[in-house]
Amino acid sequence: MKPNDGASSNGPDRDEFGAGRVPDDLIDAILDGEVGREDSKALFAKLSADPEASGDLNATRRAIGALREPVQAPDFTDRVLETVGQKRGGWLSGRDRRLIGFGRIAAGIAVVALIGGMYAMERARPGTLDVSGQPKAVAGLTNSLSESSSQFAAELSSRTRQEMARLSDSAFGVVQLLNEPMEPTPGTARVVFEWPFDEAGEFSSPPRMLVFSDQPVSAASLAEQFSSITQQAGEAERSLRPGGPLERLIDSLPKVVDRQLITSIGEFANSRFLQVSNTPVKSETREQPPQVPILITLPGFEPTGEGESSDRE
Amino acid sequence: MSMKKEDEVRLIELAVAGDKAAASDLIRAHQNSLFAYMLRMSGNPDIAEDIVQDAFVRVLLNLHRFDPRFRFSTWLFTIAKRLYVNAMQKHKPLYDSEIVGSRKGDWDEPNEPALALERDTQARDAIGRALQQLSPEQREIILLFHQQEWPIALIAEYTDMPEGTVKSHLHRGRRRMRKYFEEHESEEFLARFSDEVVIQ
Repeated sequence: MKPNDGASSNGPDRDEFGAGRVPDDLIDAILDGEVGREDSKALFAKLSADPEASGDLNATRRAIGALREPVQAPDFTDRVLETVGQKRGGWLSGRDRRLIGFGRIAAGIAVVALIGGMYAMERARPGTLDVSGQPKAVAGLTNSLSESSSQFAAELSSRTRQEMARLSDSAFGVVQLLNEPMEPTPGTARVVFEWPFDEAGEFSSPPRMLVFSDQPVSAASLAEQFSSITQQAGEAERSLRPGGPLERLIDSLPKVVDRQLITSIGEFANSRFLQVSNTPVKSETREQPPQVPILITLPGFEPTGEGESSDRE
Repeated sequence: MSMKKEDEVRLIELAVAGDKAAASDLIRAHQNSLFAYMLRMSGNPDIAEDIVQDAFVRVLLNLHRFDPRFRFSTWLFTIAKRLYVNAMQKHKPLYDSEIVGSRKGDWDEPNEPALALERDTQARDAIGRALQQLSPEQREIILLFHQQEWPIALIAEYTDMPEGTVKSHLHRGRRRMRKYFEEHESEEFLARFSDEVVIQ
C-alpha cells in the first residue's frame, strides 16, 4: 500500500481501513498532511482500535513537535548591515532615499522641459537648434540670436565650426561665419557680415556686421579695412550683393558697426569664447587708428594678413 | 515573522536602492527561521551563527540579482546551504551540552527557572542528537518539511530531487527519529511535546 501522493481529497485507499494493523504508509500519509477530512474519521477510528499504530503515530508526532520548538536566534541586523555597508559603500537613510527620489523626478521634469523648450524654439525659429553633423546655411543666424552676448557666444560655439553660406540658401547673404577657435595670437580678429536682401536682390535692410576680436575694435578702422578689402575684391563682393552698388555698402558700414556687437575675447581655448562683452563702440575710438590688424574673411578669400589682399588683385 | 510577497518584493527593491531600514526588515523577517534551520542542520550554534551572518551578507550584496518571481526564502536558504556544505568540510557537527545534562553538582538544589532552563537545554540537545542519527538528506528534508513547513514540491525543487525521493527521505527519517526517541529519551521528555500531538 502506498500513501496518497496527491491532494487530500484523493486520500488513502479505503480498503486500507479494513481489519488488521494500520500500515506505516498510512501513518506517513497522515503526517504528510495528505489525508482528507473525509477519510480522517474512518482512519482515526481504525487507529483507535490499533494501540500499536496509534502509539507509533503519537511518538512520531511528538518527535516532529520537538523540531518545532522555538529557537532563540541572535539579532544579526547590526553586524550584517555594518559588513554590507562597508562593502557597498554605506547605506541611505529614508530621508536620503527620498531626496534621491525627488532628485530623479526633478531631473526627469528638467529633461522633459528641455525637450519641450527645444521643440518650441525649433517651431519659433526653424533651424536654430539644428544639431545635425551636416553643415547648414547660417542665413538668419544673427537675427535669431539673443542680444545677450554670452548666450550668443554659447550658441555660436555649439554650431558647426565653419560654414559657407550660399546666396541661394535664403533671403540673407552671409559672407562667412567662422566659429573656430581664435588663434592665440594677440591682435587677430574675425568679422562676420550679413546682408539681408530681398528676392529681387536689393538690400532689404542695412547689413549687419559681427566682429570677434581679442580686443575692442574701432568701428572706423573696421570700415576702413573693409572698404579697402572689398574694393580689391570686387568680384566676390559683387557676388554677394547682386545688383547693389558697392558704395552703398561701404557708406553704410560705420553706422552699422556702431550698432553691432563688438566682442572681446579674453581667452581662447577649445573654441569656446570664455569672456564675451557687448561693449558698444565708443565715439573716441573712431578717431583712433586701428590698434589691431583686422582680418576680414570673404568667400573665395583666405584669411590673410596685410599685403596679401593686394597679391590677389 | 511572515510577510506578503508584494511587501517582501518592495523591501527588496528598497534595500537594493540602499535603504537601510528595508534591509533590516528583511533580515529580521528571516533570521529566526534560517538560524533555527542551520542550528538543527549543523548542531553547533557558533557554526549556525557564522553561516547565517555570511548568508545575509551575501544575499544583501547580490540583492540586485534576485528574481522576484521566486521565493526570497528559497534563495536565502540555498545560499546558506552552500555555506553550510563548505563549513561542514571544515567542522564536524558538535553538540556541546553533553556536559550540562550529565553534570551533578554539590551545591544547593537549583530553583525552578534554573531547572526549566536545564530541561530546555536537554530537550534541545535530544532533538539535536536525534537529528544527527539521520542522513544529511533526511535531516534537511525533515527540517524543511516539519520545521520550516515547506511543501513537498518546493523541497523537491530546492533539493533538486523528485518528489517521490523527497517523500522517501522524509518517511525514513521520521521513523528513525521516532525510533531514536523511543530508545534513548524518557517518556518525560517526549511528554513535553504532547500538547502539540494530540490525535484529533
